[in-house]
Amino acid sequence: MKREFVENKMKLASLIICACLLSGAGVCAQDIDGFGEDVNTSLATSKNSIKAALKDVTGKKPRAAVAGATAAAFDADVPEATQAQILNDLAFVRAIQGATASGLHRQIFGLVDGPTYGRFFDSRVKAIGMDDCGGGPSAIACVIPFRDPAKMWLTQNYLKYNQPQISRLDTVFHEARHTESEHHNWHHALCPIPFKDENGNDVRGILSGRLMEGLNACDVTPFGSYGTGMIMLKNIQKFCSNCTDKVRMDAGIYGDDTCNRIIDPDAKKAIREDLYR
Amino acid sequence: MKTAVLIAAALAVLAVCGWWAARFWSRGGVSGRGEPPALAAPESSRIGRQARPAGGRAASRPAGGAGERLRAGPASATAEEPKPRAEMARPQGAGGRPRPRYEAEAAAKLETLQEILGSKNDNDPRLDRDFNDLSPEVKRLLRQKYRRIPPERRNDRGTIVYLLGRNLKSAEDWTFLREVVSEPPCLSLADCSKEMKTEDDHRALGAEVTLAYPSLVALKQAQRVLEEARTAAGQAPGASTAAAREALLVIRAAKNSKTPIVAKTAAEIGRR
Repeated sequence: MKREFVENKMKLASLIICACLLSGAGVCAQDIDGFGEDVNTSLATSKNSIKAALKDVTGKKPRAAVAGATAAAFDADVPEATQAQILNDLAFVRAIQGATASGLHRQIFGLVDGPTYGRFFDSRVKAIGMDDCGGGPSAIACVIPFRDPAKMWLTQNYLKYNQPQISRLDTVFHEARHTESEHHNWHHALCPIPFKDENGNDVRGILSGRLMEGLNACDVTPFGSYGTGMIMLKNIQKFCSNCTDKVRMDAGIYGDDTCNRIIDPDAKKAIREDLYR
Repeated sequence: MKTAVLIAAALAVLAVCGWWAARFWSRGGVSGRGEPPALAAPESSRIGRQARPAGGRAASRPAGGAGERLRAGPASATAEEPKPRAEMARPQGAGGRPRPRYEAEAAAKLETLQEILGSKNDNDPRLDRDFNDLSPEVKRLLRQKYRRIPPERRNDRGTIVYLLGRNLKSAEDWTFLREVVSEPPCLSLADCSKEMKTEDDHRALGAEVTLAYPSLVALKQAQRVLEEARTAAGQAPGASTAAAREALLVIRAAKNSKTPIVAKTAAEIGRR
């Protein structure tokens, strides 16, 4: 016991030294004093890196500043850095403010409002684990209903890929919608054969270049997973009052892209009237 | 275990000593100014791998512009972007003297940016607040930083394009946007240079956008300028700003992008 304590202290000391080397002795000296307290979001990255290193040694829980960002329980094998990332992302979405919302958004969520988004997520996702989600370099998250309909699985890519925050949230809320067993998990539709865009060209997967027709990658309703993510993003773009311009721009870019996955003409019309007029 | 830790600690102490010695040396008489802290450590050899536009050279430059050339290949990791003349004429910090104000300001901006990128918090209000009316020096450093960031850092790169796109004033600013929309495709989020056999089903949600993100951000900024110009022209018919012409050049360059979503988005903007 004592030996373990001493070893941990030595590890801690060496990590502090290494962190000092990486981030500058002056910063480090200030930071060690604050170890163990809540992390203020405005702290320097170097400080956060030190805290993250210390956290690994001491086995502390993810940062208190974002604890409570979700009620979902993490599996033991979810790396702390991944936990911290999704907690930060959910803390961001819980802080969103907006005075209004589009009609479709009201039907799915309510107003553009952080606590509303938080309740949507919490009422659906009860646990978070790690999986490869069927593999493939693009997989970031998934729901596997036959294993646990209320559990979201993240892949290593959630943390690994350097993507905008709004893209991660799009994925998370897309998957949260897939937990709804009462709606058959809002399973996707097969893209039509032939699958043409508005200019009459074949729609091809941009990653593989192969035809998208016949793939399980479309929706026929605005209320499915694609629609839910897209409607959330487009409403953030239009109505979020405390988002940065970048977040709103990103929400528009990713929301517009997801719109292409909805293929039913009536669903498309409903979305156009709700969000693009 | 103990031995390994002790060796690590000893190495660390040596490195600290080395760092202080280097600092003392640089203060003691090496002339010229040092790089701002955020740029002090060059990135890996992957830096600038995507720097060359698809066509081998940037789109046509505006008449009279003091356009800059985008560095290509491995040399881009170390080459410096030429400074605007006005910047060159300013006093340089020399041994022991405090940094000029503009230089300290540029370093502070880069430090702020690094904090934001490290936090992965795109809703940091400093993005809206602290990067307005950027000086030519700060913009030069941001472009330099962009080229040093590995291309797989799609959001980091896109964030820099976003900030520069809010400060479009000089010919260099517009040339940079054209270069970004002309970049070769990033083939994989894990490694832009390696094409990966991948899926197109729901697992690829948003991947196409993320792969093209910096270019799409550049296009969005050009679109914004264009829309502002059109609004202004509505109030004063016949008016056509130089900025609108530059924005159209960006969109034209994007139409030739080898990245389908960039070319498609540019075509859509062009039709509006």
